[in-house]
Amino acid sequence: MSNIIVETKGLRKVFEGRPAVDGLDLRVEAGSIFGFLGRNGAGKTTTIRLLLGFLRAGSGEARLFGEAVSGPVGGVDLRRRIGFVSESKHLYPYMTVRQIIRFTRPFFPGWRDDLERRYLEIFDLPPNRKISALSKGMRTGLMLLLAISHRAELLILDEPTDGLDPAVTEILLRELVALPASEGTTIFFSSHQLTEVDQIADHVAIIHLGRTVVSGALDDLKGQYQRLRVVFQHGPPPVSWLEGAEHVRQEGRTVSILASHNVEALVQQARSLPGVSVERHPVSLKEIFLEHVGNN
Amino acid sequence: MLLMKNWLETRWRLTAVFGYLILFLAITYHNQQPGMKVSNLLFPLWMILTFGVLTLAGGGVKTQSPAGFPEGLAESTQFTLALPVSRLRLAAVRAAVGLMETAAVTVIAACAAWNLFPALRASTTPADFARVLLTTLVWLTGPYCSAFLFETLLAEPFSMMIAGWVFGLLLWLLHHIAPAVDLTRAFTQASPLITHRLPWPQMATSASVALILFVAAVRIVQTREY
Repeated sequence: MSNIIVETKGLRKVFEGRPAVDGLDLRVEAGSIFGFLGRNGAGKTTTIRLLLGFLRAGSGEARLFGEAVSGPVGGVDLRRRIGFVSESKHLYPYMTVRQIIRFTRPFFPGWRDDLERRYLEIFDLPPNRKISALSKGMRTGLMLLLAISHRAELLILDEPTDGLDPAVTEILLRELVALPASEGTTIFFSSHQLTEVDQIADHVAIIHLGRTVVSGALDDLKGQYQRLRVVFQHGPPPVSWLEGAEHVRQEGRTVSILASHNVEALVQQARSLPGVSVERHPVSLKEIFLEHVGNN
Repeated sequence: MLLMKNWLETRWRLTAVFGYLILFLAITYHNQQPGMKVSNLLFPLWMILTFGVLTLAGGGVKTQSPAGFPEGLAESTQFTLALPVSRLRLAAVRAAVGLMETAAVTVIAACAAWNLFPALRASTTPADFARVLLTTLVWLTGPYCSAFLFETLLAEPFSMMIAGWVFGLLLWLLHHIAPAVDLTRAFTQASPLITHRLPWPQMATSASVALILFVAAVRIVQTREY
């Protein structure tokens, strides 16, 4: 059985002539917490809608659990294995918490009462309160309860912490980070909250203008990416930097290089230049993100 | 459970339709004269039912608010679509609930009218009245499915207005182009009250039109992007 839970190859979706997703390649491994990063409008929500079959891809393919997402028709069995928390966190406003649980439960034969009780307690959800009267944090908690209690193998979360206060965000992140170990759940979540992704994700993909610009294990990326600060005694000469220099920025006598790989060779190249000192610095996810998508 | 959801979404609409019917029946009952014309009772009743079912047709999976305001793309529609249920089933259950409500409201209105108005009992046999009731039930599937179709395409209240106009246009066309299956004849020349039998051609046409509209609505729900 494939270890890849979510896979897209050359996925493309165009809205009114403008590509929202433009040849997207993704691979999400089983049991991982996958942070799907991008600026507003980068194509994160469109990708999620494509994965869930709300939209049809113009070209390319999307697979969940190795099965092609066949678009709006079908996909019932796939959806039984998926929990979804939408960006808007909207549920049926006219139902109470108890009613929506009673409504959702029969669709999923593997419903777990213990998880239901646990999340009712954690998110302090009053069973008889109407959903329209819940705070956004409570609605998020309720959506998470509905998504997790049916033993979802894959949890797709679209901006799950958007609009939540720090206390609820912390509870949510703590619960999410425990899920792969306790339930074997794979988590695919989109966000532009880099600190949260840095806190819980083990794999990330950064997309920009509908394309993957960075992808991989977070620790690998942090190890692989380094920032080189090359300080020249006099003005820097024009240099054609070796492969691996992703972004080069000059500030006075200092040249700042974000290196994605080939770091040693770049250091050697810098040191071979006359009158320079070279410093190496680790790079945060935020820096990687901003270097790739921040300036456009 | 989908039945529960659809009932919760349509119960206030159903209450509103019942409210109009009770109001009309109460006023007519209060003002009834000996020898009142049956058509003065049945025609307004038929009109109220026809417009009433337009409001009962919650459309497919798009409109999910009991107040009739569209929830739209980014709202609870996404939660519904993420459930392990086919879109065909979502639409079919929705339509079934609306049609059951339509049937209930029609039968109750007919029973109430039969019991409240002696003039109706005096001029009509129970068998003919039952035929009128059956004809009305089949007729109502047409405007219902028209509203159901347009609910999948447009937001309320425009969907109801357009559905009413389009169905009216269809009636007009049938009246002028194909008089044999003119649906309005089921309540005029071909009415069971006059012919003492069911208007089969009109009923068959009503059912066919409703089926075509329903299939079109389901097809749209199945293929559209949300």
